[in-house]
Amino acid sequence: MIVWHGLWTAHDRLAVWGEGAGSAPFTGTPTSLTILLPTVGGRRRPSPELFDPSAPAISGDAVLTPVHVDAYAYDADEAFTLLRQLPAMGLVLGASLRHLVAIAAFADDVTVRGRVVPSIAGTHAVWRPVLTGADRRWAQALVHALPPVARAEAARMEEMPSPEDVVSRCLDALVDAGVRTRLPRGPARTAVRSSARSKRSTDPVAAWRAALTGTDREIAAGPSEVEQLAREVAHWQRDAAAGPIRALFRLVEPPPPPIDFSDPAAVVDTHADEPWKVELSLQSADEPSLVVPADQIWRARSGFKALQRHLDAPQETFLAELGRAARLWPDLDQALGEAKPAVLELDAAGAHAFLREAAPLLAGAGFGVLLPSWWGRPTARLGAKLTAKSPTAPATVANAKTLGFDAIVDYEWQLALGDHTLTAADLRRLAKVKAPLVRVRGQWVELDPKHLAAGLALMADKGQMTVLELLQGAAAADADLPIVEVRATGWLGDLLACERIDPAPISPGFTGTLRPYQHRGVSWLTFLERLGLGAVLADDMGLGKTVQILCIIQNRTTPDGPTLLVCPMSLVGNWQREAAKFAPALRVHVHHGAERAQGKKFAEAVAAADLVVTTYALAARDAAALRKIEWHRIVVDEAQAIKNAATRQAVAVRSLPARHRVAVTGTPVENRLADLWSIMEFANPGLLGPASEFKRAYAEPIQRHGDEQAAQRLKRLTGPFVLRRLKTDKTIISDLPEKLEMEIVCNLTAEQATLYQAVVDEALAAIEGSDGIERKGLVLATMTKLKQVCNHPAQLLRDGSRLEGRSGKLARLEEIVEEILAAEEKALLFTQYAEFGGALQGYLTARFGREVLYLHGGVSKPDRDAMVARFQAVDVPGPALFVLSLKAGGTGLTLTAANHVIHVDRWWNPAVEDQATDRAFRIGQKRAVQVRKFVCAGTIEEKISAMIADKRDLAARIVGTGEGWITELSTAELRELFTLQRSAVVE
Amino acid sequence: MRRFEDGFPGKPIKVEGGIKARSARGRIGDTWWSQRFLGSLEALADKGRLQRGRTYARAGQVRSLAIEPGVVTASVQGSRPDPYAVSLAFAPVPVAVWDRIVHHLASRARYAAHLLAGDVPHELIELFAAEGSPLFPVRPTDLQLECSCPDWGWPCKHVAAACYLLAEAFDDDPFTLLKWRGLDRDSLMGRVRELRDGPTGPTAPVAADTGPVVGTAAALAPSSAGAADATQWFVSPVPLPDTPPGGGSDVVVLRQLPPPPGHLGGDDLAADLGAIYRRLTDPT
Repeated sequence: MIVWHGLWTAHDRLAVWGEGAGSAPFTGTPTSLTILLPTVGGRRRPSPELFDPSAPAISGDAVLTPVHVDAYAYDADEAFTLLRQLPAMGLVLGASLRHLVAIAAFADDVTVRGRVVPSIAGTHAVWRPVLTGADRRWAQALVHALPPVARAEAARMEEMPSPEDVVSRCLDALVDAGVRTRLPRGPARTAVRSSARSKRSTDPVAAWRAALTGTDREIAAGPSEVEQLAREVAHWQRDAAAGPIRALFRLVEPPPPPIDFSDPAAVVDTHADEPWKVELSLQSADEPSLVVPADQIWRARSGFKALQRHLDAPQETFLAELGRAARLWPDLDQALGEAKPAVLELDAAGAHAFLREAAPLLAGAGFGVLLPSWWGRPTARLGAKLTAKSPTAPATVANAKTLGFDAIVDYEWQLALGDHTLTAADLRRLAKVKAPLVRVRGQWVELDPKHLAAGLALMADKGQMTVLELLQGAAAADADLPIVEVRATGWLGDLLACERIDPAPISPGFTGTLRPYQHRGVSWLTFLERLGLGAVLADDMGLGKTVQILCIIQNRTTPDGPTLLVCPMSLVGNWQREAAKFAPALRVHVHHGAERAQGKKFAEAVAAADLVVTTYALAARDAAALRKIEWHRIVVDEAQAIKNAATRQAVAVRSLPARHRVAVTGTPVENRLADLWSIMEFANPGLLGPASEFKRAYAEPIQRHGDEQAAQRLKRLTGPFVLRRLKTDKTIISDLPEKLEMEIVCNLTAEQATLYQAVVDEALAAIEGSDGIERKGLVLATMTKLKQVCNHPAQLLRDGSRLEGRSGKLARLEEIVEEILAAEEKALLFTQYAEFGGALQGYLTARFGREVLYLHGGVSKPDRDAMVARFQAVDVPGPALFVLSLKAGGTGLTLTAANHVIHVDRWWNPAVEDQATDRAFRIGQKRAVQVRKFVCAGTIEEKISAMIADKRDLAARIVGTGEGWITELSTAELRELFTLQRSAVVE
Repeated sequence: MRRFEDGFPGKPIKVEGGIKARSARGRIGDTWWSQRFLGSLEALADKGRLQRGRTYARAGQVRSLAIEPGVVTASVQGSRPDPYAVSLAFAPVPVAVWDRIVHHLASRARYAAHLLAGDVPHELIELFAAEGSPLFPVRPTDLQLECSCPDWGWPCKHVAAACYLLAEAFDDDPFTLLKWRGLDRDSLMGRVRELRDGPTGPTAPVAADTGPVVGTAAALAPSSAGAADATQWFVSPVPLPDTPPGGGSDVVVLRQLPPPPGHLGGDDLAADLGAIYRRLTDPT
């Protein structure tokens, strides 16, 4: 295995170097670098991503030593292309290279948003980013997060370049490369170039312009000419971005006059005599909360300390900022007629012009702009309300003519301003008002005559449309009017207001107990099924999505036909077991493994089943066979697996015919728009339109431009079909226990099963022929080996082989950790094996690109305290995953920043495990703690767990003694305990 | 007898590192105030002769240019080995007038704001005119243009070259214009501040225009980051926030900039860049 690291060299080249043994897929120029690396006793300390248990452990304090490494070098153009491709190359990337990938992604993003200007650096024509607002903050974040090794090209620590220096050179170079990559290499460019060259470049401007495209950046002109040109270009662009101290413009609305709302004429307050105000101040661009108002600046008698830096001449800085802003916003000059301006007064038209035109321009140029919160909200504009009539929901099966997306409903429109529905009299009054900003019942709204006319036309439009047309709200979007409300009678009304749904009866065959919110979930799923609509169940992790799904499956068994459940391989066993537990009457067929039923046998097995469980991989491979079945329902669990719509498994799953479709996911789909499209396209095909259209109408406006209206439209369109409850929502989920313990049953991979069997066979033979101390030793050693196999084959083999895709436990752990990180929560991961802890740290670091802490016996007390402090820190973003060896981290520490505890392997001593759990579950913990205990199905882990759960007589001997009791078992008992139950292997 | 125009036959001696006018062809002077200055010169002196200085200015024959209250001195290389000494004298605005003007400047923030941002407010002209001390020369006697060359014509091309470079200096920093008229930037701003605030303690000189504003380095705040610890060598000191930017300010940069000045290509450059931005932001 090789971990690839990267750095940005002093010559503005990307250097990639590898750690570990293996072949290199890189074609860059071979080069040798001297970099500072941590070493202990002359040996290099490996990066956390490198997992090599065969290497002797290195302990002791590391010192930084210059080391020669072989590297591959790329110039900026090659680097840009490589860094954009790197994530898809399937290599293990260290934090430094991942960071450079992030810088390249940002460079690309800045480029396609046109936030670049042509400039000059030395004798080169270059494109430079203009970083303001969020871009500026992101650049700053890239500086703070730069791993030291990415700037370690030095012989001594003092010679290392600063993170600012490295990030700014790297980002600048990659932006320049990004622009050039995106400009077509057409004849136009060559024409420009050749004309410039043919003139022998007597004109430096032409030479500069020619060098802005292509790869040759050298400006063909004399150095003094270029130097002067550079000054002139800088002078022209001096207002492109404000500096670290910038003027802040805060728009303040006039105070509300006393209005008697009972007077209908007072609904629209047309006589707003009070002026709008723009308050002037200085603001720190890095720390936007640091603001010095104008009056304080004018009181300053000399230079003063403010905004985290020393201002030598605060008044002149302020004046110069105002002068610069006045070039973009000439109205500002009005305020500058005073000696000490602090406020600019505007009438409603001026305020509207500021909001619409000046504010975005000023913000784009890096000035601070603060607008009233209502601005930009759909309620601050004329909005449309849609009312529709639909029949009552039927008690039984859906009928496509009156239900579902194609059902025809009667509709009519109303207009609203803010929360207020407008009467005809209101509209007449509004039509007379000429002001673009009007206060309606105390709320400011923007009044555009065009919108008013469009709204009046909309009100005349009554008739019929399909439910899909209604949800998509096309009519109002054409008129550029936001829909502020959609109401309906009948089933459509119930769909839109999901709290009106009647509780579904629960089949007696379901033996679990539903919490109230789970029952509501089941009712909602049942309701959507009756309407023939697909559902996305996206409850927070730990809220029991599986139980809700099993309940609806149990509720509706024959004669509707079977349910197909598609899930990741790691969850197959879990579904089997949960079904047996909560719906024992359910006939479950698992379609998985090399010996799965095929052809006719498969059809028979399906016919005899209520629930067929299969994996995503097989759904793709056996799609043809699966398509032949008329499924009553398809459920996809961990639906993020189909988030990339073009992948083979996503296409296959979408192609399976079914009457009902349910997607289950614990990640917040609504924030990841491309994922949302793919998942919704499975659940409700066509609802969001074609992918390209979705991108144009929703994804880009929302993600690129922060378009609130588009976000609202999307929410209205998808909201009825997505149910997501959060465990933090105490109003809905008031009955969650403070500590929720779950056993997570994982499957073995085929490799694990083979190894497991080999260990058992060998061990039983040896144990039979031994006794006394030797036998005890053999039994304990076997226990350890089996548990290691359950963790990961590489842990037993100690061969430093790759970790990915070889352990069912690790696969499940990854899925759970992904959800935890997506929810921005923190987790403790306990293992009793120090080397496996190290492997987890490395693997999870590389897998999630986040720092993972690891506390083991070799960590010194100061280091341990520092780790705990960083993990517990609330204000700063810190590490979210903390791997602890049970021995080193099981007691004493307070780690209440975590609300997840995962016992990756087991010690079979509840007292010890609880003590470890209590690192998070103790005073200071404000949230419910979820505790997951991993066991592998069919293995010794599951058997001992079952024994403890069943409180069989063995349990008394087990509790409080760890694993010693096992050595007392007879060989026959051991055989039973060790032997792998084949049915539990799922590959 | 025909006199040599330059007083000496032959081509001017090439100068290494001379000050070159940035405009390669056409007019010199980007701003209305430098245009006004050159306009007033052209009204006073022979326009044709004056314009001959442009070639000199563009060729970099002016070795140095120093602006002091009341007088600009320049050293201009002609065809003789020794450069000629040029002086452009314009009697400074009288102290009493400056006092009143400073009062005006202090009464409205606009003046200082525009000057500090690199613009000359239009009203300044009227302010000086109303005080009887025009900002730019009006009468032939206002201006003494002198050169040590033997040329009899007035103005000679050495003087003219210095005038064009002076115009460009006014473009770059309007305070140079006011300095020529008698008050430098720090004194002027200091007195304006004093009038605004009452007597103040000594303050640091007013920082001149900032450095480059584009590029990453200009956007980054100086930070104390840089300390690194051998145990954290391979990891990010703090993780990146989850969401990269995107959204918010998507104003195309060109809209934020003034039109490119003529000597950078003017409308032609703007059109070219417009096409490039369209290609970047809309790859279809």
